[in-house]
Amino acid sequence: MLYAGLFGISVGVLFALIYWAATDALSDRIDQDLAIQRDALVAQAGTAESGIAGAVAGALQRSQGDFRYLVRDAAGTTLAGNLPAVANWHAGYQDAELPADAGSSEEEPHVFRILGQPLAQGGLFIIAQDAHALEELRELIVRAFGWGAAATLLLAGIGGGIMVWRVRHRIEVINRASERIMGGDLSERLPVSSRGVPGDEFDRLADNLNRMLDRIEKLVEGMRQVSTDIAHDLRTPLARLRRNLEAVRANADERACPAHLTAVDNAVAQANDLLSTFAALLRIAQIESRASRFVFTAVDLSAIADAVVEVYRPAAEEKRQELEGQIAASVYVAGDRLLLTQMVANIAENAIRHTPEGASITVALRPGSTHGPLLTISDNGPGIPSGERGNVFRRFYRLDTSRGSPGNGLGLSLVAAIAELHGVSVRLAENMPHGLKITLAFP
Amino acid sequence: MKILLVEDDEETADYVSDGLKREGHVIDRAANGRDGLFLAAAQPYDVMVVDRLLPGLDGLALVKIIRAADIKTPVLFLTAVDGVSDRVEGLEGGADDYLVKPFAFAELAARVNALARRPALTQPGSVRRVGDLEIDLTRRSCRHGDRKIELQPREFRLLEYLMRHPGQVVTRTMLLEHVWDFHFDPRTTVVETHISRLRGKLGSGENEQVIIETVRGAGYRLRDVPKMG
Repeated sequence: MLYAGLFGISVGVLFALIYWAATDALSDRIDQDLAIQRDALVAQAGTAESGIAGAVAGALQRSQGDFRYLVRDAAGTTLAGNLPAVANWHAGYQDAELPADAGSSEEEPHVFRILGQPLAQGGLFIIAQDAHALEELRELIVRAFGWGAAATLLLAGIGGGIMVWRVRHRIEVINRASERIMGGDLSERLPVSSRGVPGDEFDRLADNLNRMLDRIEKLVEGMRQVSTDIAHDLRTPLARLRRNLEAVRANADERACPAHLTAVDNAVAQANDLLSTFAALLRIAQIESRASRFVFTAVDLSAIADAVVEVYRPAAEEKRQELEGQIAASVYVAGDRLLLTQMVANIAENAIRHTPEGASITVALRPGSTHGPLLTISDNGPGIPSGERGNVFRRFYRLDTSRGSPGNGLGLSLVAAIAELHGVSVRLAENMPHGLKITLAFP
Repeated sequence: MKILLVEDDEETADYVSDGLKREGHVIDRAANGRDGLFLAAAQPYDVMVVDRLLPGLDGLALVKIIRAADIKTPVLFLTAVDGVSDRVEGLEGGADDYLVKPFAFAELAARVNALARRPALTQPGSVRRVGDLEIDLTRRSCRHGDRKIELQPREFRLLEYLMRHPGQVVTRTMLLEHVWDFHFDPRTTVVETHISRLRGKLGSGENEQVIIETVRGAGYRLRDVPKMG
């Protein structure tokens, strides 16, 4: 539309220039004709009233050209000519409307161009010429340009629209490819048109973006390598530490001091905890970077929810908590069965661990109507303050109220990673009257 | 037991073979796939412990070859990579179990023992018996001594798994994976809780003979403790 507007303005300017140029030229021409005719008559008869009157009468008789004349004296009496005597004729140029020529078929008065020449005795000599041609030219130009402008605007509109569409289309292609790339496939690249037209701007853009993606892919790969390497490198000495402790334990005999043996057992248990934390960290990194190609199959989510409830119920009952399931049957989703199991189990575990004795926890699964299935785990514990809800998914994050209780703060990070991999949205909300409600919405 | 260990990392190989020797097993070692294949084809073993990533012929290819050669020796994969699809790929390729490094030796020993002895093959029919503890797989019923015991489905499966490996150490991880299909480490003591419930239902051991004992640092063991007199 902008382009159409610009086009329109430039056409308008062009039109104005031509209009003025043409009409000025014709108008000058008419004025010049009048002057020449006046000069001719004056040269022939001088500026005495009687002389001019005679020359005018002679010219009219000969019907020379299509001029009209008027000669009047200082008092206003018409001495010769076929123009009506009008009070405001004056010296110099002016315009007036007069009836058209007798032979013409038009009823409307035409515009006449008039030149007044003062005479020696105070009289006035008027020559007039039909300036209708000027009017017609004006109309012609306006009409021509009217059509021209309309056509131009239309073409500009269409042309602009096509151009914009093409530009938008190229941008849309790039946008969609970018979305796919951000969705996880860091190896995809933007298409570069291969029509043989060497590098138009979009090709250059796509090319640059592709090179940026190459760099990003390398950096991400490098980062993944670094964190993997770190975890890997720390695991190895830690595993060795554990092995040494196990060896101490295995080689201990009956004379060993029981307190020492217990200390070694505790050390081994702590080493196990640390190694398990590393494993969880690496697992999260692996899922987030989509390092392995996860193969999705049809997974029975109902069975998983049932399993989690059954497996964790005794643990809940140890804390006199009630863990119940309201699970619709045969709800299937696409995903990785083992990861989904871990995700649901982590949330249940979280609920059990962070609610007090006697709390009640419900795992509910409903098939979706307009969307995918909804899995909610709700409890009537203390809940999570709304300010903290964004934080709990961060690695190692512990709420102040939870510090000191067992757990490494990675459970919900893993839930977030697995959910993201499956396109599942996770929402935390306040449960009524109090407590936490976690809603997982499957795609 | 005769065990073949195919592992290229010397530290791990030493660790494993020293530990297994201490348990009284005989160990043959190979440091790459081709040597491993050679040994596997040359003589029968009770269990093979194979690292998945080996120089040259890798562990997965090795197992596929011996399976194609109709060698039915149980295989335990060791791997530093814990991709879920790797696990599936390994098991479908012919391995029987999968252990991720780093592992505690007790875990490896328990799994090796569990693989080597398959008492299920020696008891036909749908009834399993250990001492005076008896379960019926089709009817999903259980008796201990002269007492009938009511078990929930997952408790039944837990007991069934323990009875498949009587007298052997079964680790927490094995129970999580094989009874509940949980392939991760829960931070809560779910296994302990279920085991103690099961213990309660099986009886205090005054009249009954079979108990589930806790093996410190390793796992659990179903034991027949015959009463005298």
